Amino acid sequence: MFNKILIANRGEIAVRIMNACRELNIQTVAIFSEADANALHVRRADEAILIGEAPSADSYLRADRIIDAARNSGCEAIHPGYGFLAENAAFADAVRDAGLTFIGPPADAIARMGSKTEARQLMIEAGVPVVPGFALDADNIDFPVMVKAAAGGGGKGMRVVFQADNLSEAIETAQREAKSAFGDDTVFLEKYLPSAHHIEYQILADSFGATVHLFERECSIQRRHQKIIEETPSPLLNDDLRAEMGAAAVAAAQAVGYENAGTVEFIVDDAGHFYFLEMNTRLQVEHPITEMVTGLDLVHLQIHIADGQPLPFSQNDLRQRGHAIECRIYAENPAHGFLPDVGPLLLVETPMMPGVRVDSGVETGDDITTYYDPMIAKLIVFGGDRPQAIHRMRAALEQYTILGVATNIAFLRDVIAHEAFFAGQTTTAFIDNHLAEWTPQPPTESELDIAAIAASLLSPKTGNVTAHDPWNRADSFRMGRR
Amino acid sequence: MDFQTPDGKRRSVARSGQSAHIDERRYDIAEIEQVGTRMSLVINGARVSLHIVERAGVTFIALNGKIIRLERAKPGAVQRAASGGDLTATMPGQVTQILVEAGQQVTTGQTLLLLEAMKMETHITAPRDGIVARILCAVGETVQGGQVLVEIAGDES
Repeated sequence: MFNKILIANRGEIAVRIMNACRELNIQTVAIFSEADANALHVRRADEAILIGEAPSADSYLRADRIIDAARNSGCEAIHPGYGFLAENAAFADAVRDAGLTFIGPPADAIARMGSKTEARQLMIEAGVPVVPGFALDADNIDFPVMVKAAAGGGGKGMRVVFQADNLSEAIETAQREAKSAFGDDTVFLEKYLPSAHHIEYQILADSFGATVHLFERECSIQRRHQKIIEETPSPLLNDDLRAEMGAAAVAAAQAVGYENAGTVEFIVDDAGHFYFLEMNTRLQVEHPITEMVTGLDLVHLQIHIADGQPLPFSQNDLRQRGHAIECRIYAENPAHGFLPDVGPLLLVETPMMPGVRVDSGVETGDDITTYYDPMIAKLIVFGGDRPQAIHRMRAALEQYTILGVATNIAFLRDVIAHEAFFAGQTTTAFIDNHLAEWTPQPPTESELDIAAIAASLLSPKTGNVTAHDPWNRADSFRMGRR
Repeated sequence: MDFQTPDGKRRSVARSGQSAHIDERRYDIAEIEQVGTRMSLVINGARVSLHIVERAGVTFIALNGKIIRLERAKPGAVQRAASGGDLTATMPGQVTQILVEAGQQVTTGQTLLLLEAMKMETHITAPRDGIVARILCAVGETVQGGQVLVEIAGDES
């Protein structure tokens, strides 16, 4: 087993991977940009190495510096998290060429699934159904279509086009976004299903050829193609469809000789027809809900597989128990069209109750900057069944308080409390159908009175929360630990 | 003490001893406790719990699941804001393209510049018809939310 792992990421996922390493008695090395010198993932690591300036291209995307940092600090393996270099085949190759273990799939599997266009072709050959696609200049385009980045993911470089007039502008915008986000401006067209279910399967495969799925995650609740709420089991699937899609997901992974953890995404219409969308060749943001219902720790398993150990179970050993929901907490301002918000987090108060897990990349006193993804934390709940999980999520969101930076918490609360959500009508059109015109409920006149009275009572001494408590600083923290 | 919300609602609190007045409304206040950001108090006999934190003249309050933002206001002062026609940055980000020039006629909804933040590109459009008077930003510049980027002259309705 590894003694020391470098985590080539930041934010909540870096912290989550470090927690797993700590449980396995593995030392952790964080990397950080100048903007993240005091970030939580730096404070939580055993060691931390400055990797470059604030923009990702100068820091978290610098494969060369990251590999040097891993070698210089005596790491044996690199965990890429998600985003940044996680699905960069050249990085996976370079890590292995440097004599280190890449905690993820073979570079070849990343490359083949990373090209959405090649992946489509592979799936057709493997007998997995795919969404109808079109050439950029085709005459027979069946609108609406989605312009997607071939190298894409995470909603970036994606545009929906309803008529031919808007196609060329959408392609140009998507190309620019794709170039900026992925360094590759190749885009392609796929038939867009305005109201469907986005259902994905968690895959685990070891280096001995064993491949299993850990059931589905329903990720249909999206805003602008960004997932905001995920749950498992899916309210749409019955046992037959669940097994059929699971088998297709396993076949998809096997078609590229997959190893380690990955996710096969499908789009499913109301009639239960499913189509392969893409495979994410990494740990997924929403992996915790799978952990909740299977009782497994996916990061532990990723590390064990990378260490050359066989999967400790077969498909028949796996069961879904209860129901889990995840809400993604974004630093964005619903009152300003959900645009990203930045600034100091003056208070982060996370819910504490049974069946609740918070994977957070921030604490009180941390700063949100413009440089990175606005998703700052994930709230995950477990319940015996779906209604219990929903009630628990509602209560947990009520307890979750963030001050200083605007968040989508109030919006999430209204999605979770919506009767259509309770009824399981979770399609990708949910937000547009039910909450398109949503704005935060303004305070009442009497709430404003109370707030003003409270503000007038605030003592100047205790009113200020220091943005960086000296005891929380990275340097003093590490001084104490090592 | 005078406060105002970002959308311009004002509250003027006059305190005397255990009571406070806002306009002609009287509130009796008792049992004020503050631990960290948590404040508990009894107002007109009803207990209220909230989170409160102040920074740089702005007080953030979490009450009944709502976030209330109050700025200290000078009594009677009118807050200066960008005039209705000017184009302000809706979020902090980097200007990636400027599509208009000073003197150019623009129409409502026309894309004037592109702003990128957190890898998402946003089209910044003209809030009304008019003529571009001045461009106050440059490609590559990092701008703050609320910063005026383009001044638009012409009829203001």
